[in-house]
Amino acid sequence: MGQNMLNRLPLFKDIVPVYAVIAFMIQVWTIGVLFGQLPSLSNFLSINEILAVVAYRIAESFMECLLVLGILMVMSFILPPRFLRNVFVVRGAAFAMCLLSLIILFWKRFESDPGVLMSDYIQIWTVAALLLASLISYASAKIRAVSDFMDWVSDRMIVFLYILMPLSVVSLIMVLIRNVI
Amino acid sequence: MSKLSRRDFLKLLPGVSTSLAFSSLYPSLASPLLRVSDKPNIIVLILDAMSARNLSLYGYRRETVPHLSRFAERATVYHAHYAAGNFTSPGTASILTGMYPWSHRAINIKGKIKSSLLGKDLFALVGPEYFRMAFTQNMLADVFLRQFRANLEMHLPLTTFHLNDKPSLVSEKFQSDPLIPYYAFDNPIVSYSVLSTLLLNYRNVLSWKDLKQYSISSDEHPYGTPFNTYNYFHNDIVYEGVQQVVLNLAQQSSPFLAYFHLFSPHEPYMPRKEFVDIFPDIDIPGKPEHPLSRGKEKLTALIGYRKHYDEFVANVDSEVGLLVDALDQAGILQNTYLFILADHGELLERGEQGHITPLMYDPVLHIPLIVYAPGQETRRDVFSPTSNVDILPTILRILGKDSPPSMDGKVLPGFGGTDDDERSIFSIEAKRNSAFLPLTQTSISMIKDHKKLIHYLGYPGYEDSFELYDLQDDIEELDDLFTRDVLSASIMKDELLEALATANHSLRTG
Repeated sequence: MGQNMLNRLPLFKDIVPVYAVIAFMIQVWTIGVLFGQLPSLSNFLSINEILAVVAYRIAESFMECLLVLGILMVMSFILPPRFLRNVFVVRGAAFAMCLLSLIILFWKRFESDPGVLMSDYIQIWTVAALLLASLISYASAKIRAVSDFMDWVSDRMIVFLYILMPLSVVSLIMVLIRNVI
Repeated sequence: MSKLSRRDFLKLLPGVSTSLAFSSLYPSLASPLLRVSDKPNIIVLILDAMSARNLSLYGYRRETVPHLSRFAERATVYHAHYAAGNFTSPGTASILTGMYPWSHRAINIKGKIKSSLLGKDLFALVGPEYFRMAFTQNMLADVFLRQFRANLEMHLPLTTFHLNDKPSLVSEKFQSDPLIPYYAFDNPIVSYSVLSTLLLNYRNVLSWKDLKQYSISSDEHPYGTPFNTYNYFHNDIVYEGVQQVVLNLAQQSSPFLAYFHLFSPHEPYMPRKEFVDIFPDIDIPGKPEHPLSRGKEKLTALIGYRKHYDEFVANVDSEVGLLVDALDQAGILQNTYLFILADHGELLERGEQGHITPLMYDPVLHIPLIVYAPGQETRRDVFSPTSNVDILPTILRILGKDSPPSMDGKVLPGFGGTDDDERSIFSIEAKRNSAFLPLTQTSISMIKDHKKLIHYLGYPGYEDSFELYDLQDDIEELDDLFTRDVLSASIMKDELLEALATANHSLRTG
């Protein structure tokens, strides 16, 4: 029974490249935004304090990565294996890449607008992004060139995990230390 | 001393709507429960961006503050009281530390007080024998309350009395590390729209959906509902909340220090309908646009802003009047010192509207200070120059405590201090300067014996400039005497530059 349940989840070797895509998109964006804020923060925060801000942001973005991966895992568990589990790398990576790109596009589009205006569009944009991501994700496994491309990209993204994973773990430990000790 | 946790306290705090419904019952309900103590309570009420130059109490032609004027008849009124900075961060930090901005270093927007001053602030120095509570609606000022949270029995979240269902701040989850998560996740001034991490933004943006109802004009608020960033509020609810907090504090077994920093009449100026169009037009002297003016506003626009600001000031005055009356009727003022002041003023001239400006003219620095002492029945007027750095030493004197020698402030006349017309009062603006480096881009105002010297340093195209005004003969600061009153200019310039050099040297030597 337990083994059957586990069989509905993707293999670990398939999860890693998908997580790599998610982490690259979310955490590189977070670090990019942080770099933009550094000149302002460095005016009044010490290096230690800035590092602590970075730790909180990275730790939070790590949680976001796990959340997105978790959603894909749940979908894989629920859907018939041929929909997602058997092609987890291609469809998972395509879904994450497309969805997160559209979210980033949304923030950039409305960056300078007041939040009230932003809130007008966020729900419709989210629904559209989910639909588009699902569609592209579905099509990606059907088109050989796209499928190969997703395989290639997600494989290449793994190298960033050698930076992002230690960064995430260290950040998480820093946050825990600051709040527990 | 019995201490309440925040949770316990909030349980005591009835819902705002309930408090509104029963507000008329407060005095009769509260009086029998009032604590009797030999130590006086202290209430500090800061009204953000309230300029003395727009208050009828200080001679303004529009009758903007009849309630404050009435209250002033049994209080001490300071006529030449100055903010130590021209916006919230430096101005408020000086109140809390008794130091000028070049000492406490909260000089940037979002800036914080230097860490070595923790333990030398208002809350730490008043000490644990007092129940110390603090509340601000201003995010910049909340930075300091987070810094000093270890010495606060109560720190109410800044959204406590706000209207919209904005989710609680992320940083509120990190009780043992209140400041850094605030900068990491909550402080929207880093970037208004894109806040922090990719998905966390959703939480905030979705919460902004319900703001639209407040952003438009309504019957109650023809210009729109007052707000601070994305937090909308009604001043009557805020002041009712403040009143309820004080009434609850008065029932505790220990004396209390209650510190309130309320947002109005800070821009946007959005008075209730009763205060719209209540003032006749007045002649506003046209003043030349200053080269460092950021806004480049036309005179007609500035006249319009001034009208709205004055109406908003009148609105705030009405609320303060109700609050003071309620505290008086409840008997709380019998054993309470009440300080009413501002963190800085507001500039509505020379092309500038607001206070995020390098300019240092009187409207943005000259602020009200009214201090009520227990049992005071007659008015006292103080005309010698005073500063917000004097608030903390005065409170400490009232409590029988000594001020640390590093403090810039002096005890206010009327509370143990002496009138000193020869004293130099400084106000400092340096928001673009690093807090860790000597001041090289700054505006400094120095007031001494009715004369005011302004020094602009390090601004591109305006590198090293001085202006000198005689505030007694030229209250509008239109006649620059720097090249004509050579003696005064020389003496004051030397003193100002020496003070700046000393401050910069102290920073280098730690």
